Amino acid sequence: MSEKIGYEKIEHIIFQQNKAEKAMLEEFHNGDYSLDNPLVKYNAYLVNPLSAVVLFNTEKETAITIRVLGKTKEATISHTFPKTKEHILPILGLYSDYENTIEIEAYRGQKTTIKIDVPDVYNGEKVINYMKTSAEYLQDNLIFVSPAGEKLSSAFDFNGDARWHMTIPCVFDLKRLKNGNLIIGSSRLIKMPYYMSGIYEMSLVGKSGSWTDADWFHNNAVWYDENTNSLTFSGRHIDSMCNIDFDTGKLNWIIGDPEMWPEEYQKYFFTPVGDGEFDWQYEQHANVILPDGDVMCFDNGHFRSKVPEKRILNKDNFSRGVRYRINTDDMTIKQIWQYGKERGQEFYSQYICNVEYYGEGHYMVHSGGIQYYGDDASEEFAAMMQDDPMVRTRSITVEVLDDEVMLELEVKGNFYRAEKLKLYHDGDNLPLGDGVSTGHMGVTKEFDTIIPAEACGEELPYIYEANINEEPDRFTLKATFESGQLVMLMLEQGEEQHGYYISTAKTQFAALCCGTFIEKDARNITCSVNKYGLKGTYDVRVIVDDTKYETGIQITC
Amino acid sequence: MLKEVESVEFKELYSNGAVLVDFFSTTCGPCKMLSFVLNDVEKTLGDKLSILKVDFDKNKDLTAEYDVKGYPTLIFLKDGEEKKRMQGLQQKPAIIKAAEELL
Repeated sequence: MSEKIGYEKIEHIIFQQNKAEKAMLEEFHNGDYSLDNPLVKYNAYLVNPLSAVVLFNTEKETAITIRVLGKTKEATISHTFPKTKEHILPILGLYSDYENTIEIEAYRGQKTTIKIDVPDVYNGEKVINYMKTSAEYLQDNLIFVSPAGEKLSSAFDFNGDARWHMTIPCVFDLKRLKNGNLIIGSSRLIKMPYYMSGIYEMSLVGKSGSWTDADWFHNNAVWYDENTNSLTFSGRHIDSMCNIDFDTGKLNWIIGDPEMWPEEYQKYFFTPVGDGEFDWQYEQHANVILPDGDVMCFDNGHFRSKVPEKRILNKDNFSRGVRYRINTDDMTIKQIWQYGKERGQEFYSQYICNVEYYGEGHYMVHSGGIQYYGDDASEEFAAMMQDDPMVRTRSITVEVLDDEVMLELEVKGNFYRAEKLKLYHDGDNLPLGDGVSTGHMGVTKEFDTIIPAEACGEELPYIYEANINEEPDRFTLKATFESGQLVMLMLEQGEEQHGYYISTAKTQFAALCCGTFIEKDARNITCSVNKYGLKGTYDVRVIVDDTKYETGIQITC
Repeated sequence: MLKEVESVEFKELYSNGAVLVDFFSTTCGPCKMLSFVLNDVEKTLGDKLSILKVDFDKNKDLTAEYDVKGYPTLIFLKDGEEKKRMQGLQQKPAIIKAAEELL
């Protein structure tokens, strides 16, 4: 291997977890662990430092109740597991920077108390600005947030204490499946600004199981409506929610400002009616079809016009959750509810966010992309100015019941989506066995034209600060080049050549849903090549301008 | 034919059959890559297509006339009339396909 080019082999998190679980179970089965003396494995699956697993045997089949004692009585999180003799129990809801007390109690039997001392997983950083709600309202639910910036996923209880956290940057939406597991966007970036390598399915303890250029539509949500057998897509870049027939794909309707749309599409748009207030939505996210057919979304409101001359500045703008009632017979639309407009720029997010419908009059509105520059909403993406002290980012999540605010959480940083979930569920909270990686990454697109550069036989110079990470299914070159340099990554095996062009042009992103991965130095490049479709052992070389350099690294596919 | 031209020579050549104009900059990585792609295109199409390379920074009259906002920009002309435009780095098959529509 090269002495100049950094190289690191990275194991997939699923396989790291499989090994960790095997080691944990081996230790358990080789020991004599009882309720008095359980085996305690802190952060057993490596990615949730606010969790643990306790393992012990009982002589008889016994149901076990776990209580993670809260800092206040109402903050205690408890769960009863079904009766068995071998108990492998996830402990969820530990506090950061705290000596946690956990009670483990057998049904009509003995009780043991264990302590788990958790370090400060946020490294001294204050995570939230405030949580305003009550224990009666939120109960043992947590508000989960998934990142769009440099922060990581967390979940907060009614006191605003973090009770769940992930140490890997999983992005986009998170949802709970019927089996109780979470699905969340993967932590593996393919390409900025938002091409990720699929999704992870994981238990709340963090155990993972599975996964899969021009962006004129930028779909950020799809909703299947059983009543009309249709799909509704949220197209941020066309300021519209588009509904199509599930079977035929035929366009049924479009909710959005019809101005500037071609004449032949006007028939798909609605006409506002009624005496109440009405605003169209712009660059919306997360459309939801309600049981009665109403349509909700988070209306980001960016520009508030389709016409460039009418665009308004972010500091004069607002974002909101909005509910529309549509009549597809006469193609009319009414605005029947909104929250957020009255708050102006302090609730304004020019990207990401979501709404949730819990029941009539009961909603979540998550404005997760608030970005200020100085005293006003920033006109640029904060992710592009991360080191500027004038930039402040935050995320506000509000729950409204019958027009009364029941909860408001403000977290530092930007968070793509929010979701209200309980930590424990009624199913299997810790399914054991190897997690699997499903599907494949596909073939990385090559560049047809190879730069006719001279091989100089020398290693890529230090100044490019190159390093290569190899994962089981791909490898990634990271390096630093000046804007305007001509760069191509080459894989060569005898006469066989594969070329991957690397742009060094400065990029203006139209969206930054994965600002989590943005480079602080605009000269930094990241180029990933999937192994799928390649066979054999390849020399990795890099062409810079008119010279082809060695890296001294070989990749076997 | 593939050659770099300035305004005067451009005016002599742009209206003659199928012409591909490449507005490039010497400071742009994608433009440099595109120049190799255009060499390949020329090898494939030969004299059927004239490829005129125009330096964006030196020929402001042409960038204004063709309303070119950035580089690289490819404009496909048939007897002087614009038929298609591509912005950003393109691969050879896409350029060949667009050029063949002019032939």
